[in-house]
Amino acid sequence: MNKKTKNKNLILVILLLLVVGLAIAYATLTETLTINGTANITTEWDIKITSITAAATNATTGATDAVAPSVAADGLSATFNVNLAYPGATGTYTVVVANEGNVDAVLSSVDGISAANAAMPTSVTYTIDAVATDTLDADSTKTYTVTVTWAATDTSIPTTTTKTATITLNYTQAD
Amino acid sequence: MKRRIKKNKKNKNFLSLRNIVLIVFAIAFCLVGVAYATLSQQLFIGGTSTIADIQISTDTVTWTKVYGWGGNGNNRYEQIKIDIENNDEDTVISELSFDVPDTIIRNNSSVWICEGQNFTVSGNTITIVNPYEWFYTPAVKTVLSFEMQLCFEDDVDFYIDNLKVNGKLVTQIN
Repeated sequence: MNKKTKNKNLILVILLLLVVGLAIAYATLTETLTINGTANITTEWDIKITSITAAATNATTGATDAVAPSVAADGLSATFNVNLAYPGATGTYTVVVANEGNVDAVLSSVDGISAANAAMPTSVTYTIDAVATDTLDADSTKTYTVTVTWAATDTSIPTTTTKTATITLNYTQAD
Repeated sequence: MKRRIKKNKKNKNFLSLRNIVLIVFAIAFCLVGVAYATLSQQLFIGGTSTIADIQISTDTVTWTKVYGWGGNGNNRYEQIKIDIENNDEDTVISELSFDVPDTIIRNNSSVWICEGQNFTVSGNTITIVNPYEWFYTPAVKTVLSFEMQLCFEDDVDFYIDNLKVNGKLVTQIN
């Protein structure tokens, strides 16, 4: 075996070792690592009406309940039904909204007041002291006052004597 | 060979600039959608109001505070004058009623109308009944006036409301 052939064989052996080494290294590098994880959603989004109460002063402001005010079983709606005795009579109701979840909420809009007040009889008007941007933090409550008033300026009985209103409180999660 | 070229062409078309832009837009749309998805809840308050079927007369009423007697820390006395203008026809008033603040104290209050008579207080409503027909018979376009001294719990914001003559609501000027 001449020197040239010896060198060739040596290079071949080195290359072979190199390939084996790389194979081992690659095998090492491609070792599979397994990370087991479980993700649980802990968000609770639970906004509801917890109570509606007629003001004690209704008895002296010409307003009497035709039907006792009540909250639906799911807490998503409340109703009141009131008789107004004379022009100037006012009925007042206190509505409590609760955030029983763990996500802060904000009142994005209050709908229904304008449409109700534009309907006949226009001398009967509804108000609510809720304002868009009112915050309702997690585990907190907010109290709103809803009023319905028969204008004292009426000197005759309107043709339409009953008026309904649906006031919608739209809540979204706070930023 | 031709098929392979065609396939390559197809692949080339798939990765055209237009398709890449469309994919980018689709991904962006999804991201924006996820970003704007927020929790929300609607609550409803339903109200129904019914105006009472009452009769309204053409008479008018004004009231004035004649004198405020002040308070003694517990009670406050207000002397009030009521003027009812008969705009309709000669009337015999058989019953007068009106609402005042509900802190009225009946036992310390008094009403003078003609020769004076009894009145009742139910809740915040004062009712005066005419014991004799000739007591209050204002002719048309005349005014029936009377005064009363009413006692309230302190710091009352006095008002008169819902004044009715013979059950008919009288329009209140003030």
